[in-house]
Amino acid sequence: MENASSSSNKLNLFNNSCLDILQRDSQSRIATGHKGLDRHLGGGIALRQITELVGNSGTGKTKMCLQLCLNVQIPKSAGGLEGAALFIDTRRDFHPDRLQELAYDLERQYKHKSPDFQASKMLQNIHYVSCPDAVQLMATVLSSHRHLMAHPNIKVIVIDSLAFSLRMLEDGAQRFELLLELLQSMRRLQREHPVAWVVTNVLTHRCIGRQFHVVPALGDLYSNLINERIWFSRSGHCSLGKLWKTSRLVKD
Amino acid sequence: MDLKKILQTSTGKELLSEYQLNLLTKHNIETMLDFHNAEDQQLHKLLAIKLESVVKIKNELALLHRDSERLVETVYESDFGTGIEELDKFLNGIGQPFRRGRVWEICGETGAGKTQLLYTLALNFAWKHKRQVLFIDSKHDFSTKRIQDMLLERKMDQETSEKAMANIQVVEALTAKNLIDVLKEFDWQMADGVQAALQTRVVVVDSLAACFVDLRGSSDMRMMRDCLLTEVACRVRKLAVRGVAFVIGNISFADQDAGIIYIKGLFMYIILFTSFVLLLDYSDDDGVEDGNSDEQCTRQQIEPMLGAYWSSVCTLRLSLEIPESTDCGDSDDGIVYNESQDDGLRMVNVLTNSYGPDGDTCLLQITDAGMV
Repeated sequence: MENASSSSNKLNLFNNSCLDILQRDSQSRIATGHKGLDRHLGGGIALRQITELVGNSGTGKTKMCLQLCLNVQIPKSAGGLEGAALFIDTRRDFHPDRLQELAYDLERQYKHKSPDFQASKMLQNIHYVSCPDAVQLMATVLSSHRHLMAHPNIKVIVIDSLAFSLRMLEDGAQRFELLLELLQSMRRLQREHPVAWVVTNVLTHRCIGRQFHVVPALGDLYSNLINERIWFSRSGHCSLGKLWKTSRLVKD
Repeated sequence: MDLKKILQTSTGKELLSEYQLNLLTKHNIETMLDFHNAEDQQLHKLLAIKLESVVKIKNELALLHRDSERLVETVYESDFGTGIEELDKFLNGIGQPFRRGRVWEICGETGAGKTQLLYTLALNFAWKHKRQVLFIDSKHDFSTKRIQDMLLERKMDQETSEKAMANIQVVEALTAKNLIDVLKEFDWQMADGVQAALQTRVVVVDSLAACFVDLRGSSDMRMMRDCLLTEVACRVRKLAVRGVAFVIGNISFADQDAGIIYIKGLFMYIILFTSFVLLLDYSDDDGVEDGNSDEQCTRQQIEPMLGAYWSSVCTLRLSLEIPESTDCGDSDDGIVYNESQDDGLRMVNVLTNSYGPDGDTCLLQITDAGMV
């Protein structure tokens, strides 16, 4: 009897080797535009993963977010995903002008390969939601599957910044619960749609033993659940890795 | 199902039809063993074949059976070895070589190199023993690139690399229920004699904690979580009895992170060692405080996730730690920027060991080729 029931919803355990994956998905990544970073990440940030950008303010996190929103739209003929983006803004810090500049740069870059790839169209493909507080952020993330229904070609969802709205909550337990709730729905969405989450985070101080250390905000459990962490420094270097101490410097 | 194997023998193929097999099943002869034990006379009448043919089939079956037995036996006997010389030496010393039926847990803080160690173990096994590894991925995290990089660094030729990679089977299990389904299916396939399942001797889970984070909050959820955890533990143990070795990744937390308070809320039976943590949780008075709090202020206490019950499931629990570095001065940017941030040294600390002493440590080195 058991055998019969198992074969009805058969799980295929042994038809997805490492080699198969390698041969199948070399394409589904969003280029960051940073050569070294792309090389280290194997072509860019992966769909169905949560990528975190962390660094002090003014180190280029938001710029990278905007860049990813544009890069996801690179036409398939030029090796891109031809997708769209959803930008969730929690700081009211979204500058369309800045985005437009980047879009013109990208348009110039792809002028020869695909002349149809124009900045004005790019801006149309970036959906924008403003979430000034944590409750709205939660609501937006929970309802993001509806955005995806309406615009199935959304391939990247950016939250800039995840830490900002959460840190406004004073009650630590509530903040933590909300964070986990957010992560849960983000992970659920990933299971159903091939979409990449990009979130930004800030650095904070934490006392370990008797020393103060600079660590990313939002805690260890959260760090474990994200897939990739990219560090931005003021000197313009990027590093990869979950812990600063063990991260690898990315060379251009 | 099992009986179909008779048709694989040369005499069986000539003599028996599907109809006759069904006849056998009807008369409660359902496995090869049943067939073997059945009276020759009875089979002769039932199948309407000659008595000599019955004997012939039985003999051939016995041969077939012995062959498969021998094949399985040789695999069973061998110690797998981790392929990491230093670690093998160390583990032999504490009576825990990596072999069939062992359930290991590797815990460590984020970024300590758990995943790197798990990849190394998986790759070493797939490569050395030419057998399959089942890699259960709970975070959509499996990176072929990292495996590839490790192979490149080891200067493997194309063919060997591809073979090793083909031997690493990846399956995703994002929730605890998925994980249980995967383990169940694996169990069934082993019982069914699916070749791929029988070939798989090592299961790597990265990471267990991620399967369980969604289950939290209300007491119902807590109960569900405990249930599922118990079910996972049972499934793991059952497969271990069949000779599969497990390596399970888990996260652990240091110091007063929110994570610990969170775990504390979820696992009523968790025992906390640090008085530091107890101070944080005023409402709790489970009276674990004893006099040894002095030493703990200086040394970080490591507490793996998933509570006390889970800690009893694994036969070996290793904690991967970053040795205390001498100095971590902070620059104005908050972080120090120097080229050699990480010397790659990791300390493996034995937390629990059901076959020998615990508390020992061993140093490993992370390299681009994996752990050595």
